[in-house]
Amino acid sequence: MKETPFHQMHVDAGGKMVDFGGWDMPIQYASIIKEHKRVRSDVGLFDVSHMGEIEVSGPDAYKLVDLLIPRKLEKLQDGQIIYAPLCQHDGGVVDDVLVHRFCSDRFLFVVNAANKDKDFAWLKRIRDEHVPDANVMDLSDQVAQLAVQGPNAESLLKKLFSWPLEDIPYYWFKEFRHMDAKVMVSRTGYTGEDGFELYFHPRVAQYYWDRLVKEGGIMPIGLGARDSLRLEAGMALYGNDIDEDHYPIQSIGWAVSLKKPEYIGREALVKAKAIGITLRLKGFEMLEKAIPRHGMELVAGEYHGTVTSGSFSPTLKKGIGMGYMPTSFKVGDTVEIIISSKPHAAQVVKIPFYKRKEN
Amino acid sequence: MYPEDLKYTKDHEWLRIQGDVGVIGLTKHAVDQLGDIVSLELPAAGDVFNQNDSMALVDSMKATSEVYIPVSGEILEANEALEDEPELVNEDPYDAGWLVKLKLTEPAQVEALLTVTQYLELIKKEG
Repeated sequence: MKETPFHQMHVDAGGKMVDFGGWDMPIQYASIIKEHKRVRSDVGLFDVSHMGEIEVSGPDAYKLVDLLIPRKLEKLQDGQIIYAPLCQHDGGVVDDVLVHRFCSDRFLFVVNAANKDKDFAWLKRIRDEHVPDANVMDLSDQVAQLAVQGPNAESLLKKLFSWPLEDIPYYWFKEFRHMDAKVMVSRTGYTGEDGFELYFHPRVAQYYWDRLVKEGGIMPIGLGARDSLRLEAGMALYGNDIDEDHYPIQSIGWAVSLKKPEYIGREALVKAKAIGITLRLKGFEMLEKAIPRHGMELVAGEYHGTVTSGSFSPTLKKGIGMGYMPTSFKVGDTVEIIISSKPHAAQVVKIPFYKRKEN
Repeated sequence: MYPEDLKYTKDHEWLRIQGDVGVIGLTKHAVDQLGDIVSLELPAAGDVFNQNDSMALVDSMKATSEVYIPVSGEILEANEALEDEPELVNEDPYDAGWLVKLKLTEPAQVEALLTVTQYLELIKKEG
């Protein structure tokens, strides 16, 4: 199994290691709920070094990125980040990614670990077919990544490092030199809290872990809480909520522009929209004491589908989930989740389930 | 971690005998495997079960699991404290985190349950 540069630190911290898409990762340390609550109330540290990093550079880098991303890129500035799906020609989702713009001839894609090889091949294929004067490089082995998330993330990082984090707005990033190595710091995350993601070379991994965990006292958080945090925040998980079999306009439609004149998959999406979208990804919360989980049957009137993501919500103290259901189902409507062969009532609710208070 | 005065099952429950009353809970091994327990569906007083019947559901952050009754009996009481504080099962599985008390209808079944030594061997084998 693959290991991140922080593997030994997880084991030493009592992490329960599990196979996560071929990576030996901590699902939790002592308690998913305690870790979840710590991120909501204070700050927590996530090893997300399994994520992939692919660089697109060269004279035609912008052209290639513009062809791959179904959102308008004109306004994306140097130092800014955009979230988007990568679409297949048939409109299905290859992956959902963060695109960092350094300048018009250099971009960095941060992609899901399980999709990294597929994404890399996809970017190269589109490059070869359409925009030969661009380089596509897999940098994943040269990049370690930590996410520092929670309402106290900024103040704690400022105490530990001298970076001007107040100059980094949401979905922007800056590069600093620190300990004779580059570090890229972005105000992004997958928890619904304020927070930052740090990218640096694996050789300084031990240094950052020691500063953040030992000196800063930040609690390490496992993948279990990462999942319950992102679900409360209504963020889609590739492989669960979005995939090759669904159009992104059924789920993360806000991250797709049909007005943009040209990109891979546009034709299929425009056609699908014209025919009419009948199923959409929606959120629900349980009305009964039961916990929905990924793969369970979801019944919405005549429609039988599945729960794409489900969990107990430590913040709301009830079961919450998402799933595709007919567009006619609105907030307040009742659906049923089949748990242990018995239907349990749930109610369609607005996503996100949880929204942090703005300062 | 595994009290010597209890009987155990291969499904990771424990049974404490107090006269003709039995107290049932989950072992430390079971709660470690389940992780954070967030809710329980326990039987009501008066419910009658045969040995190995499914008597309760335990929801943890990771999974929903059934609890099988180690011996036949009639439920006298379910642990009401778990309604508000399900985490007691994780924190104190042998005491505050007990699940139900029951009146044994076939006390002879107790003898065949696992001793602590046998149970420790079992979980060692399971890894």
